Amino acid sequence: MLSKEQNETLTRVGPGTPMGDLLRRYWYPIAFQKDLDEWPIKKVRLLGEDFALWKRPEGGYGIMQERCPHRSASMVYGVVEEGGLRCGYHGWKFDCDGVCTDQPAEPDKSAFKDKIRAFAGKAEALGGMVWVYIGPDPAPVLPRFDVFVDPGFKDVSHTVIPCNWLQIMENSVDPHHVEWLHGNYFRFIGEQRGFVAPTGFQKRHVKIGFDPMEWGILKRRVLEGNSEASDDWAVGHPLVFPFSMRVGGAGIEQMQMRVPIDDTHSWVMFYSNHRPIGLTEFPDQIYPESYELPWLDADGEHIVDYIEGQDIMAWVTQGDIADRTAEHIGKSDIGVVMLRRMFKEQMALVAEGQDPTVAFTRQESERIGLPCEKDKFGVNFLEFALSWLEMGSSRYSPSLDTVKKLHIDAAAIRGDMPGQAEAMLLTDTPGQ
Amino acid sequence: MNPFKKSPTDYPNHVEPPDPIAGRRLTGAHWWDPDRIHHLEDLPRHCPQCGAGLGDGISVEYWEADQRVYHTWCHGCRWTGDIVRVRRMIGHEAED
Repeated sequence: MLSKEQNETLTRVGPGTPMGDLLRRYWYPIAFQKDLDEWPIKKVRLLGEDFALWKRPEGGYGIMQERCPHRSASMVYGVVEEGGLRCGYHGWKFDCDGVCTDQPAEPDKSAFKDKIRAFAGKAEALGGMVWVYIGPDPAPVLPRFDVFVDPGFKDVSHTVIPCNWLQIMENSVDPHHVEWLHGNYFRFIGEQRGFVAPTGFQKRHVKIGFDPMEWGILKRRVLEGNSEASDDWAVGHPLVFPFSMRVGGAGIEQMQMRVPIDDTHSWVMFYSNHRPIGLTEFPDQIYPESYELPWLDADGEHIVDYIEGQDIMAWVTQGDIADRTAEHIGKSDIGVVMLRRMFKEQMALVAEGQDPTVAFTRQESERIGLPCEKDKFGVNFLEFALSWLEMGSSRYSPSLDTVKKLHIDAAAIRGDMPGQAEAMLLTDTPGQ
Repeated sequence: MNPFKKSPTDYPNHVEPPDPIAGRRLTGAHWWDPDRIHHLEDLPRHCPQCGAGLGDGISVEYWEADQRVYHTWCHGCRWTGDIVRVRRMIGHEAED
C-alpha cells in the first residue's frame, strides 16, 4: 500500500514531474523503420508530449516538438528536406538540433530566425525500430541489447493499451502471476473452451529471488520439481530498467517493452528474436515482422485465451492508474516493493543533478548480452517454443508458420524432439 | 413513470453516493478504508537512522500474515529497512 502522494509521484510521467525527469534520461523505441520508409513523417507521443519524427533524406532520423514555434501548426504536416523539416504552413525550417534555419517570409536581412529554437531530441535506428531520446544533454548511449543485434528471425507484436506503464513493469517482478494467470487461469479457460493450456506455466513456485544489477533487477524462481541448479534460478532473467523486461528460453529471445506514452497509455511490444539452438542461418528480413495484437473481442471483452492477452487483461483491469492506496500486497510481492524503491532511488539522483546509475551508460558497445534462461521451466525446448508460439501473441504473426518451422528444424538438428529432452539436457548445456 | 415511486433525490435526507468513476482513483469509501487509514496513521515520518523527513523517500506497506511491514528508504541518508509497528510482544508460539 502507498499513500496517494507516493502513487502520484511514481506514476506521473509528464514534463516537470520527478518521474518524468527520470524517464527522460533514457532512450525509447517510438516507431518502426518500416513506417518511416512508407511515409517520412510520423506523429509520436512520449511521456505526455507530442513530437514530429522524420526520416532525413541524408540518412538518419530527426525528432522535434510537434508544434511549430511560429504559430503552432503541426510539423507532422511539414515538408521533409535535406537539412531539416519545414513547416507546411509558412515554411519555417528546423534542423535536427531544433535550430531555425529559414523563415522565408521574413526580410532577407532579418536575424529573427536566430532568436527561434525548437525543442529537438535525438533519434537512432536499432533492430528495425527508431529510438528517441528527449532528455537533457549529454544523452546516454543507446544500449544495443542482444535481442536487437543478434542474428535470428525477428517478430514483433505490439499494441497500445490504456494504462500507466508502471503497473506493467510491476508485473515483471511478480513471478507468482505466471503460475496463476498463465497457469491456473489459462487451464480454467482451456477447460471451458475445450483446449489444453500449456502445462509448463502451471508449476508451483517454491522460491523467488531478486537481485539488483547494472541493468535493473534480476528475477529468479525455483519451480516445483526443479532446483536452484535450474536455469530459472541459476540464470534468471532481468527487468530492464525503466521500461523493459528481457525474457525467453528455448531459442526464443524476447524483450518486452512498455513505452510510457503518457500517464494513462502505454505502447507494449513483444520483440522476439527466434534463434533456436542448432540453427545458424535464418530467412532474410528487410524489416522485423511487426503486427498489432488484438486484446478485445467484438463484444469489448478481453481476449484471454493467449498469454499476452491474459497479461493485458490484468494490467488494464487494474485501472488507468492502479490505485495503490487500495492494494494489499504481501511477501510474495517483494519484487514490486523493490522496484518502487529503485525508482525512488533513481529519481532522487536525477533530482540532485546526477545521472541515474541503473541501465544508464555512456560507454559504446556493439552488443550488450543480458542474462536469460535457456531451459525454461524444465520443459522440452520444442514443446515450450511451440506452446509459446501457439498460445502467445505470435499466433497472430503473419510469419507464424515460418517461425514454427525454424524451431522444428532446429529440434531435428539437435535430436531433441519432445521425449528426448532429458537425454539432451544430460549431454549438452543449452546455449553455452 | 410511476407517480407513487419517489426518486431517491426527492427525500430530504438523500445523500448522493460518490461518483463511481471520479471517486474511484485514490479516494472513495471502500471496505479497505480502515487499512488506508491505518496506513496513513502508521506511515513512518522520519528516518530511524538520520531523523530526516521521509517525504522524499518511500515507505511501501506490505503484509506478512497479520503483521504490517513498512519497507522504507530514506532520501537523506539512503537508509533502507523494514519498520514494523509492534502492538504486542510475542514470545514462543505454543506448538500444536
